[in-house]
Amino acid sequence: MLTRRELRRVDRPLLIVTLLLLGIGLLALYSASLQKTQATGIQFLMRQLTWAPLGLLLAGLLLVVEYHRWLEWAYLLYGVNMLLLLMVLEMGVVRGGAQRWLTFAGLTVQPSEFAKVTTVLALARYLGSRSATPWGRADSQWKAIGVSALLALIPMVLILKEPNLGTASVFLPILLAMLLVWGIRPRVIGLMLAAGALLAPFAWGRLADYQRSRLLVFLNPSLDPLGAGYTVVQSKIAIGSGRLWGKGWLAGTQNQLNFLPERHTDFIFSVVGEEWGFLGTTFCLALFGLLFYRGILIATQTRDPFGRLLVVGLVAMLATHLVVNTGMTLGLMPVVGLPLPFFSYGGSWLLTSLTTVGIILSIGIRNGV
Amino acid sequence: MRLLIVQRIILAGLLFIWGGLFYVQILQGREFRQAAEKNRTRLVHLPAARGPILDRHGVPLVEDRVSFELAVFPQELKSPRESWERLSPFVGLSPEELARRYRRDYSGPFAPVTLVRDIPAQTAFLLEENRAQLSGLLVRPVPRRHYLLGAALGPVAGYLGLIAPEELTHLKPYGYTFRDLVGKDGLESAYDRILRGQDGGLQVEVDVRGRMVRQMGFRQPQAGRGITVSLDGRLQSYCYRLLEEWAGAILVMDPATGEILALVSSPTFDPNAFVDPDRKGEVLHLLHQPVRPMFNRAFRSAVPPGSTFKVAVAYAALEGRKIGPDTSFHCSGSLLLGNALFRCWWKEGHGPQTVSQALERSCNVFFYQTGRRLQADGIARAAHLFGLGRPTGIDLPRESGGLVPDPGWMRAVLQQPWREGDTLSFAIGQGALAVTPLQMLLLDTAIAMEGEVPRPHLLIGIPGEPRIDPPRKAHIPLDKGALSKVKEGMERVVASETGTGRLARLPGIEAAAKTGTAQVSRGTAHAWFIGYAPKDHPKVTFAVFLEHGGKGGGEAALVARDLLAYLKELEYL
Repeated sequence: MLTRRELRRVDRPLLIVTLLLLGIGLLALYSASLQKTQATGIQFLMRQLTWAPLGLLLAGLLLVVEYHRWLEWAYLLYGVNMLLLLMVLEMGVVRGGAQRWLTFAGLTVQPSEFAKVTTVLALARYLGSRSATPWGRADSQWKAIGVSALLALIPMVLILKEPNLGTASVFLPILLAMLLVWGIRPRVIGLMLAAGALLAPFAWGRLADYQRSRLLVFLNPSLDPLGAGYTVVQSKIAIGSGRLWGKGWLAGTQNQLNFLPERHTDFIFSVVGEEWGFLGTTFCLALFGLLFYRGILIATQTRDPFGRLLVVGLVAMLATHLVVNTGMTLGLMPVVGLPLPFFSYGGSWLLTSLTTVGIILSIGIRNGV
Repeated sequence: MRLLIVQRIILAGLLFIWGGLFYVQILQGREFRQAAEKNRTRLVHLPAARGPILDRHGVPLVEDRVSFELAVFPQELKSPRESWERLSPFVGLSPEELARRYRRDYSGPFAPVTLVRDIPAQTAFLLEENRAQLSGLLVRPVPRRHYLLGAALGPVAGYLGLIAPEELTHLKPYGYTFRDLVGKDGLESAYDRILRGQDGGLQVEVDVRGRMVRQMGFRQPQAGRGITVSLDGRLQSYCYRLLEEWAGAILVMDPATGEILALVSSPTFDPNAFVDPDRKGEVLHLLHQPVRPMFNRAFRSAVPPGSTFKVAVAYAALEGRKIGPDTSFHCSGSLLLGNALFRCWWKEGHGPQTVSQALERSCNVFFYQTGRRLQADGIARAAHLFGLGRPTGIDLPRESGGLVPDPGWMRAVLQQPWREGDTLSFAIGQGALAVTPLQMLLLDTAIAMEGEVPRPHLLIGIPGEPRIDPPRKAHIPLDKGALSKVKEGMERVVASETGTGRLARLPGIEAAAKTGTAQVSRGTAHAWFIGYAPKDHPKVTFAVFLEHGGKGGGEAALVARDLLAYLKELEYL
């Protein structure tokens, strides 16, 4: 267990940044769920408020427990999670045309969110155990690449089936970042990217119509300003109209008058942009930057290859979410439905985000191991 | 270290997003702010009531009344077809017609589409009660123009229409906008700036479904001011009925003030049709009818005056000493000039005639002889003296000036020499001479009032505002002696057993008049009857013009008789 001395070594900037982001996220969610015109009330906020302490508790638990314990269980957790993903496909709850949720004792959870963490665990466990000779025998490296790619591909395929293109695509940067830090040659990464590009047309054929239209609309939002492009157009109007200072908390017209669809989940960043302006968005980006910086710092300082890989995978996951989510609210990325860490409404996702921070902090404490 | 690469990639991603934010929020912020404002605000147009037009007794002739119209919000219309079927029995229109109107007037998901205008209050309440079943329905009160006399006041009242682009350019400084209805003719046009109100508006904040969230700004619509006109509504309607079977015009004026008591043109139109877009077909029909119902014959049709013009010729000849009061010409039924025969309308001949006898019996031969003495220029001078050849200046738009020919005009315009035959025709009000009924009314008034000619007008006041001074009178210096012979002639037209206007004679009314039967190149002659009553101290002057109506002493005299009888009934006489 944890000693008092160890507890004092908790990375305070990371902890504070996380709590700040969580607080700002809740404020933004309050604004997004308080609608002047549709009296839906603040139910989203209330649910998120019940999930937040739960997530903090879980993060604390992860912090307290020696993280190697989770690595020992990595394959088991991974396996259970894959099973849950299968169950989603078999008996999941269908919402909005997608089957992504499972119901446990009245709680609805989204196993695909947890799969990101369990897959990072499994990858860290696998790659960490064979990090010995990075420039050595090529055949073992290829094997390592193959196995880790398979570890990432299984959840990807299962999640793509739901369908959830956004979440599925997160696994690629995670895999690449972890392989890179593990010691793969950059040339190999280039090769993998080239292979991916070659496979893209094939993948295009496998996409559902709405996914294709989202990608097309991303390339040209005016293609369908009332359909798929509508959200992006309204989101850009919301963010842009915030200008430097923003319109003030609870005063965003795009938000309060319902012009912004999905504003409590995927497009919550538009609410931040509209109500808090460029200063607000810059502040949030800076907080996220600090979070990633502290994460990478922990990875640098730890002497444990497992811990380092774990941190890199988790940071890559959070960073991907941030860039893709904010990029999509700005029309810089296709609308693929990746939530923003600590901001977007959704219990599973909040738990996952906080879990991630808990694990990173846990590694930070034990960097001497 | 590999971690540095990961760190840099993440940093690059953050900078990429930050750059995007800078571009959208700082560089494009202004445009997006405007877009957001446009998103949330809607302007609801609140039409102002137009001012009423009241007759001389304060009775409304034209007024705005609250009417109910049925509109639908496209956004909230769940199933249009079903809605049309539900609505159909309430408003008495087929579902297809409702669908057609909806398609025609649809402008956007937020703008209500008006389906039925002017629905009875009963129906409005019924619809309001059933609103729950009829989604997206809106029954709203709007001011609606009512022309209470209908077609009787048609071309005098004028009508309303959307402002024309070229009109807008010069009316814009006065606060007109492109969606405004403006008066297009008649009083509506002449006094548009008094009658029109200032439309109001409601700026509202709406949510994404177009529902009003709160009111942001409001401008109260300002009702237009009214005008009081000199017309007598009863007389106007009566005259309209008199003309029902005719094309033509009737004008009645108070000769002391120039106030027009009745001004009727026929055939005509119902201005109410222009208020309702659903009567557009009717309007188009009006515009294309060959009888030209939109054309106000009272002051726009320039036609030969026929024998009514003899009044002017007689006066000019007497005044210029071309003839004396007792100068007599013999009428044998025709006059031979060169080898052309100029006929009198009375083939047997009137025998020897003095000027007052010739007026009484409308002898052409007398006036041929008189005309020869006056010469063309003398006749033209007489016409100009009595105001022919130029607009009278009545306060209604697009008055015609008519035409007074003379040898100079003949040479310049027709490039023909003026022949003596032209002088003879001119002397009996034929040929190129063209006048409006209103001009003939003023000629008649000049005789009746012995040169004191008021300007004809309709506007006599604006309720609630200081009195309007009547327009200044014109003074035509007339020779009393000459005038008395002309008046004597006109009195005999009605009073004498051989007078051409004896059909208009009524007990207790001493009217003076002159008939006219103007030959036209094609079709029946125009019938004229101008006059005044009573003969001493006239209280009314009038002109009856029947286009292709027959004889002045026949059809027109009968119309005049009914008119005089009604004037007596209304105590104008």
